Amino acid sequence: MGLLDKVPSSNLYKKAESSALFKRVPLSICLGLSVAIILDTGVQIFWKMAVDSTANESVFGTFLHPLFWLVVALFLLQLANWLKVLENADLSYSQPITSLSYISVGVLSALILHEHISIPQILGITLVLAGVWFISRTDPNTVSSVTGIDPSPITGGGLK
Amino acid sequence: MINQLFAIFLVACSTTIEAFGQICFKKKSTRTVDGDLGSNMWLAGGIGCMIVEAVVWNCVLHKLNVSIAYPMGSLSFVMVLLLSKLLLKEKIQRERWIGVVLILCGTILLGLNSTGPNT
Repeated sequence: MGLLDKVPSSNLYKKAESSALFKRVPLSICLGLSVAIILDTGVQIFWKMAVDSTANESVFGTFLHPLFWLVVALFLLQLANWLKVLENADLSYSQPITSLSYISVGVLSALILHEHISIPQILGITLVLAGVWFISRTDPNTVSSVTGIDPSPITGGGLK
Repeated sequence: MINQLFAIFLVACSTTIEAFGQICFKKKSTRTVDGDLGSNMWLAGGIGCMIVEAVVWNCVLHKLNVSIAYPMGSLSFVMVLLLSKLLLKEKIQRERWIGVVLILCGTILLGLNSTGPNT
């Protein structure tokens, strides 16, 4: 009976959090990572298109192609967004999550080239999704920040 | 064969350079005690790594099909995890390792078929 009263409310919250299928991720991190994945997809696809259309030229011929300059522009946007993401989250948290762009690149190339997505590819997509799910279970920020904001108020995992 | 091995060596270089570049970006975005962001030297270092990586990666794309090269590039996730632990003192929970290994397997599978090897 009295057992529940003794459990600190934060522990109850922690329990509720860990039993949920998806951990709550702060909106700023979520948005930043989404933008990063979209821009990454654009960079990869347009870069490959630039390489393909200059296949008969030298390696440096690619750098003169207009598509390559689109890639550079996307890349600068990507950089600004990425620095913002890293202000709030661990590198070892954010970077693996951007692997979702492998899925978007794969699906988009299949759509553009009118290819069917094969069984191994569906398996691959599933594995990447599972991997990202595992990473999303961890605290986004494990290094205690000096700005006064506790990086992980729920589990305290960031405290040394 | 030598050409393929050289391409694989280039992929390894490119992933290592990328991981170091990411560390630089994280250093730039980490606030100091005064609440300031990191030095612009970190940003310059990160961009420098990216430029070198872009040149190396361009060579890779000319030698290997992207369906082979791109999954191999995902080895950078492992490099980033190692360097984050060593240089940034981030806490790498077990779930992060599991996640990265799953992502690695997934990207290999994603690259398996599509078009055959580029000659």
